Amino acid sequence: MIDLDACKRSWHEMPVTPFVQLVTREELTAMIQTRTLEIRARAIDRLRGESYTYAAIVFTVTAINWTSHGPSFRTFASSLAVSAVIGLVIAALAHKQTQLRNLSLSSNLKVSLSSLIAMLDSTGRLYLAAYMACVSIGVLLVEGLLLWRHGPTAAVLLSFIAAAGFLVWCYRSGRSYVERMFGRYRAELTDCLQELEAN
Amino acid sequence: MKAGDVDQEFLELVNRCQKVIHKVCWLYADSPEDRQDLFQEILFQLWRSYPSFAGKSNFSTWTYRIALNTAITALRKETRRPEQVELNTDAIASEAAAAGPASREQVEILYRLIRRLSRVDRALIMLYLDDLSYREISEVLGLSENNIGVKLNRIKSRLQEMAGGRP
Repeated sequence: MIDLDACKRSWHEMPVTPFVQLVTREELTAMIQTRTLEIRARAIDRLRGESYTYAAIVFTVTAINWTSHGPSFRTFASSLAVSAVIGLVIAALAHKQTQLRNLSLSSNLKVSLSSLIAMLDSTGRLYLAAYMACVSIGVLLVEGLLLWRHGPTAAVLLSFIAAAGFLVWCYRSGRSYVERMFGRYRAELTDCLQELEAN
Repeated sequence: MKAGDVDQEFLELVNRCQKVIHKVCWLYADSPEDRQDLFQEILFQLWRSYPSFAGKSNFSTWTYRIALNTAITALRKETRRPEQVELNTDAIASEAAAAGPASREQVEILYRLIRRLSRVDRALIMLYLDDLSYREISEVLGLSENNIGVKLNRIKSRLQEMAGGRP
């Protein structure tokens, strides 16, 4: 049997073995700088990973465009337009990551959990929307090009159906990617919030 | 106030509340590396939020709030939860019985038992043991004072059960 009230007294008296000793301002500054750099490096790594996916889309669209028409001002301009759209998407993702990283944890636990869950949901939605926007633009450009060059032939119509199937597949894979990225963490936070709210 | 003075003031306040941060790390992180990492993360969050500390609550309540928020919302490196770690309940019960009232060993046993509770319950019992009032606990967790009382009674019973005694 454990006497909690008696334990309470000992709990205060018991020394907690410190594993980090903060002594000087320099040490504090160094620790915070290291932390900031680590966080920045992690964010850059993740963004780099995202950028590779989108760079592959730009490369594919540009390659198809250039092999069909050869290098011209028009093909250069259309590649630039796709890159600009993707650049905007990457900027939006970076902004969302910064928001997530800078979310204040100084509110009470219930508010912090709710804000974090809402932020994860909106980040997940933006990821999916950005991914689908890029893939759709790429598919539309390729299909538009096929239609323009070959007219409404059976093969082109078939490619439309294939493109629609591809978009559905992309949506599903995008959703499962978002689920893999945030799902477990979101579930953990939701469990905590539900437990906190339960009577 | 100059940046250096703010740093110094923050450092003094943090050094005064260091025990709180260490307790949170002991209760929420499993390995020494994880504890070190959590300590740095809590310190970073405190430092980042310090400019917005308005002094409406006292510094230690504010520290509890940020330390617990950071520990509870920290992304787990693996899904295994501490309560799933194999613990010999019989051994704990007999140690608890042998340790006598309020000894150091009992507190150590209590630490081990608390680590088997859910993350939210760990926070509640820690705040209770640290003598925070229901109003202060409510400020940290965002629960009503009535709800805190109900939950605390349930946690105490659970701890007694785990220690081998009847609630």
